[in-house]
Amino acid sequence: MQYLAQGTCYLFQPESQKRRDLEASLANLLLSEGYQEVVLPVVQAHDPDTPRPLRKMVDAAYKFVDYRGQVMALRSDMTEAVASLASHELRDIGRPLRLFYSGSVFRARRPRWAGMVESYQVGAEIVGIAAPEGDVEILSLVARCLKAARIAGFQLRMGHVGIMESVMDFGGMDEKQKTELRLALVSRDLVHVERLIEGIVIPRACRLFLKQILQFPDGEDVLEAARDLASYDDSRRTAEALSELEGIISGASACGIGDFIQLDLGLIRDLEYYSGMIFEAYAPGCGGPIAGGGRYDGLLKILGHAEGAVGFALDMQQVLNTLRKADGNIALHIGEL
Amino acid sequence: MEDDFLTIALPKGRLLPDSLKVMALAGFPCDIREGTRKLAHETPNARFILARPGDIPVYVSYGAADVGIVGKDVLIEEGRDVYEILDLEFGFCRFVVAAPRAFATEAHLAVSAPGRVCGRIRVATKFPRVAETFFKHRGIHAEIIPLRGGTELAPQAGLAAIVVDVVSTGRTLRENDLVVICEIGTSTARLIANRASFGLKSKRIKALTEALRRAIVAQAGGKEVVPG
Repeated sequence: MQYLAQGTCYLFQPESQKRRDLEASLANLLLSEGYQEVVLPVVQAHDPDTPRPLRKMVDAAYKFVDYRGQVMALRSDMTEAVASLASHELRDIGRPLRLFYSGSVFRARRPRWAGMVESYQVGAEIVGIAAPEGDVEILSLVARCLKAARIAGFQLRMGHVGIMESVMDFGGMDEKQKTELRLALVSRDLVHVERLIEGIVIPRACRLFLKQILQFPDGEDVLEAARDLASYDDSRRTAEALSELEGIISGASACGIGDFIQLDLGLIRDLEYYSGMIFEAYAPGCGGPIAGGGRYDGLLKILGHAEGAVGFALDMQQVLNTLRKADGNIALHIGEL
Repeated sequence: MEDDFLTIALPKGRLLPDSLKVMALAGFPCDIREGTRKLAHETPNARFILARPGDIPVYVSYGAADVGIVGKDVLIEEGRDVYEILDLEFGFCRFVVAAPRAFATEAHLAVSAPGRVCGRIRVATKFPRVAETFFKHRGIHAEIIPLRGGTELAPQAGLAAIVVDVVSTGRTLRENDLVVICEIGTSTARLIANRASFGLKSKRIKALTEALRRAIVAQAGGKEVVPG
């Protein structure tokens, strides 16, 4: 007896057709922009000595044992798979390397959550490209993909991992405090963040910056607070991260996507491998992010081939849900078989 | 989801009167009477929906509501993907471990000195995640029995020797001859927001948050004037 596992679903007409059409138009767009398609294997060999930034995904991956007793896993992250491909099999191919992919990723969910175990993604990565050039290209590519998918009123919420990290170092926070702050920021538990920064001794500029990011995302004020903090930070790391971010902002404005970008320096993504610019895309009616991505130079370094890389992935089910809500149709799509 | 409009989810039950009061003070009055069966209310500047406390994070995480009011106890237990924006400071309660008075000494030993107690203790609770985390961190071998409510009955019925529950006045515990063995944490009402709405409707949510913040300060100030 077979039955549908929790967190998986069937997809029927006309939604299945819509997904197929959407994928085709996204693939055409990406091909025309010079991205090469790669089809990635669903099953991967599991490495028990996975470095820490990848730990979270490895833990969430579905694992099983093959006929030799080797532990295998269903792929749980496309970016990781592409980064691994780029730094091993394709390490001698000319850079920048532009790749795109589509397919399912599988991640274990907490049983009582309604989240999906299988999610279908379309995404692209550029390997061997520095900031801000690559970041601007990816952001503008995401905007074009969302436009091609006819998502109305979307917003790209953007932050920078380096700024938050250097602020925490400048503030002299220990590992435990850093982890606590990161976790509170991932879930935007602003009540906890506020209590945390009240309870620790940190420089005034640092406190003011953290208080500022507790406010709602809107840009100028938080940039001002970051600039102020950078002027005190002798390590120059805040200033470097900030000027990188400012470069991305002006680059984005120059290519006409400035209006879609909302600056949010309190943004932290759930994946630990990001090291620079990060973003999430939202649209009215979507509930959660419909796309996300960022710069992950640190990941390639771990994989043994240090170079710049940046990318994004679109969650196709979120895209379809958002389109369906925009159509004013919250009922099930039931077609005639 | 119109951009100029907020959908606000309020919890039925214990937190509703204070939620309505603080919303009215913040400039979002809504004429919801206690015991009403009508669950959606339109007002000129917002749409209010009423839901069970445990369902508030669900409505908000899916974006069916932009913001909501819910107890921290529910947020800890549900662990949903929502943004927690403001401590509204009402609806105070404590997460506690409680046991029958007659069993108090033993229960205290079991919770405070796990290394010296053999065997597995049974714990009945409406908050299985909270209970599991607590006992796991203390290294206590516990069997968690999830219940929908009325946990205080469990020891009397012989279902479990220990319960994990939230208490506000402690009356329910007293009437069932239970005593607090230790406190796990405290909880108050929180304003939560949907991840997408947080950015897409940031101006409106920010205005609401600031008005609520002022309302809380005004209320706290008002209380201090009362002598005694």
